[in-house]
Amino acid sequence: MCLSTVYKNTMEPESILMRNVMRIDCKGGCVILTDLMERQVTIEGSLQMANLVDGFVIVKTGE
Amino acid sequence: MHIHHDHVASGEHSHDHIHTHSHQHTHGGVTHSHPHAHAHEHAHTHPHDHDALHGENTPHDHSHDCDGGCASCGGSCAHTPMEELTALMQYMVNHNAAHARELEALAAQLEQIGNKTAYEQVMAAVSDFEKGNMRLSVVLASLK
Repeated sequence: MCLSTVYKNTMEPESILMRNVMRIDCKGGCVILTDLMERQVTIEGSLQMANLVDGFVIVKTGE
Repeated sequence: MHIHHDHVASGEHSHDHIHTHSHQHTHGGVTHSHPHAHAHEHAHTHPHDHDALHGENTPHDHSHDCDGGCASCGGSCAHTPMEELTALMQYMVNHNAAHARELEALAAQLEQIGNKTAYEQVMAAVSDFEKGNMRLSVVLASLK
C-alpha cells in the first residue's frame, strides 16, 4: 500500500523511471506506471521484482 | 514521453528517450498494433524547445536533477510543485491513518492471546502515532 520508486533494470538513481508510483499494470509486453498525480509512463519490458517493504520496483527491459 | 533531458540552447543534443508510439507487428500470424514505448539514445534537434513543451502542457516526464520536481524549470506543468506536495501530504496522512488501524488490529490480536501489557503499549503507540498524524493534518490543511 506504499508508493514505490520504479527503476529500469538496475536500482541506480539514473535508472529511475518514476517516483511515487501508486499503480502498475502489465499489458501487451509493456509495463504501465501511474504516479500519485495520475501521470503515466509506458515501458516495453516486464516486471523483474517488487520490494513492497522498501518501496521499490525493477522493470526489466530489452536494453 | 521523455526522461532525463539535458537541454541546450541550440536544440542539438543527445539524450535517452522513451518513445511512445503505435507499433504494428505480428504474433503467431496475427498482425495487430498497439501503443508502446522503448528507450534509446540518439542525437537530434528538437522541433521546439523545452520551455515550449511546458507552455503547451505537452505530456512529458523528466528529471532536472531536482528530485523530480519542476520548481527550477520555470515552466507551467499540468501540476504545480505545491499541488504535488499537497497530494503527497494527503496521501501520507491517509496512509498513516491506515497504518494506525492496522496497529490497532495487531494490538487486538495481542489482547486476544492474553498479552495485556503489549496490547496497552501498542495502543499507546497508536495514540502517539495519531497525534503525529494530526499535526500533519494541520499542515495539510494549511497547504490547501
